Amino acid sequence: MGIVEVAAVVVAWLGGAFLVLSDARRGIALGMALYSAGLAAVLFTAPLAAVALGGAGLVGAALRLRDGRRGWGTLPPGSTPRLLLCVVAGVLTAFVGSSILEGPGSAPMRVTILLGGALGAARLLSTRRREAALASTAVMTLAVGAAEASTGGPAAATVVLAAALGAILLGVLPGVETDIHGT
Amino acid sequence: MGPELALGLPAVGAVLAAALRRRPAVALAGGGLLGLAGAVVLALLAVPQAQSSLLGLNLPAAPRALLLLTALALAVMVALAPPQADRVGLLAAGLAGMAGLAAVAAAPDVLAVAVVVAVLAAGHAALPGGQPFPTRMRAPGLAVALLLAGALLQHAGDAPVFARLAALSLVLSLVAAAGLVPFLPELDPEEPAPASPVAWTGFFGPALAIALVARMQPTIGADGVPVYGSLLVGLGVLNLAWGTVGAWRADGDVAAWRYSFLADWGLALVGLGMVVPDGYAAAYLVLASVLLVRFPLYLWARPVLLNRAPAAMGPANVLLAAALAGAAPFAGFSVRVLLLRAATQVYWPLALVLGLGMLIWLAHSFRLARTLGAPAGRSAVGVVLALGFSLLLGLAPAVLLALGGL
Repeated sequence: MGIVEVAAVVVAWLGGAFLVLSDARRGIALGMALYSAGLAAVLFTAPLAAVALGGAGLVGAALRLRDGRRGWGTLPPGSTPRLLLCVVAGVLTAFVGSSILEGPGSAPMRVTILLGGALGAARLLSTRRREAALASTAVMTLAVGAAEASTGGPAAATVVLAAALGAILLGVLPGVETDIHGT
Repeated sequence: MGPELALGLPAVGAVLAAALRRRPAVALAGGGLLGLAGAVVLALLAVPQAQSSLLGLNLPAAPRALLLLTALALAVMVALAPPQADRVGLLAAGLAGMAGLAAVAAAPDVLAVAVVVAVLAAGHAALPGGQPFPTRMRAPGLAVALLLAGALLQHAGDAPVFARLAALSLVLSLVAAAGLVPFLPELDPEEPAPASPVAWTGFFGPALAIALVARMQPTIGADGVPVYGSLLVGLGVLNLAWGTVGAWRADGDVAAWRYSFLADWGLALVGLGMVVPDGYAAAYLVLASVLLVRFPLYLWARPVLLNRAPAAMGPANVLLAAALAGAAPFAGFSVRVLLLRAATQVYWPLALVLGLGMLIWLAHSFRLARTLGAPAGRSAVGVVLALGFSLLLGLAPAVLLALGGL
């Protein structure tokens, strides 16, 4: 495992942690951007997937800056349980991805994919903020695209591109709730 | 280009209908025509040459037939929606759902299904509704995470434990994706029908489940099959019990309708979990009847559910109660026969449990039938059509099963 790959996993974990620990648009966008950058770096053996997913993640992060609560909103009061969650999730995914799972792809790739799935799902299941839920779903979608690239399934390129497009579409959705109408 | 067109035409129709919302007649005509074109392409995909795809996609027979039924259900619901309903909104949401479901059916593996579920569920959760977006995204979001975990575990190594854990994750993802117990979303009775979790479970769920099972089951492996089967049967019995008792005892009629969907889904899960042809056929039929009978009836019951019309119990309602109870010769009867036959093949005490669930089922059917009031005009035509579909599925289930390649 090279130093670059380890650094990429740490960047991805930082991104996931910012996503979990932030309640405003800048913190959430930074989390998504860092995770995408880490994911793209561990996917260097699959350049198409790295460019597509990394690029889509950055575009999605930029789109998240449009709306939602202003500012960073990182580590608000009462965020100790979330901080613990990030640390425990980081340690567990590193252990499971590198020592228990034998595939698919390299150990850093597995750990990064697991981080996206675990921290994205944890944030989605615990948040009441629409912009955070959208960003969490986008991060999980990017992780799914990376998993497809690492398993090399049938029509992998199509699925990776669909995941990238999905992450951008999730960024396009507005981060504020709309009024109810219709029956 | 066949699968791409089956996916793209309804998507364009949805965008067109949404864009022309202020001119309802044009929106309905444009969206409807594109949806119809998509359904024709779906039907043509039965010819193998039409399945050639630039993106390496293919649409297997079972989800394709259920997608065609989804298109038929959408056409009937939009054409015969109650007068107060937002028909353009219904068409736009339904066509977007059709496109998403075609993408799920064409998805080459479970990871591809996860991508489509994430986007489709986010689109549905973003519709204006009574619950906030994060609350509505919880169950499908969990389904995406579980699909990811299941796919990773399938490639994790040769140890049997990985196959078992993968089967566990994938079955839970199916139940979460459909919004069933134990991942039941919160319900707001006043919520518009297209945005409601009932629409997800009753309209999007059936084709989604069949498409997911078509991708999931062949990859489970011998070590995972016992976990896959027993967990599906267990969750099916749980949903059947929860649904029948809930629909009987629920305080509000909207909740009773919602629980009745769970009861149907319980039968479907048990059928899928028995992993025998009769069980699968029963699951297929019950999901088809959810699409063509129960969900349209729920829409036509909305005026009474929203207190805009009085409940009633006339001769038509008695007939509806019989159809909803699964009496002969309606769809539920053939489902029950197939399911009990499959249960006796697999493990006969299961037939007793199912029989008990089917008995409790009778209690809520009359309650639901009352909520259709005294249908008149378009709603009356819709109710007659739903009864006709139920009769057709009950008298000639082999036609649908043959369409689905079963």
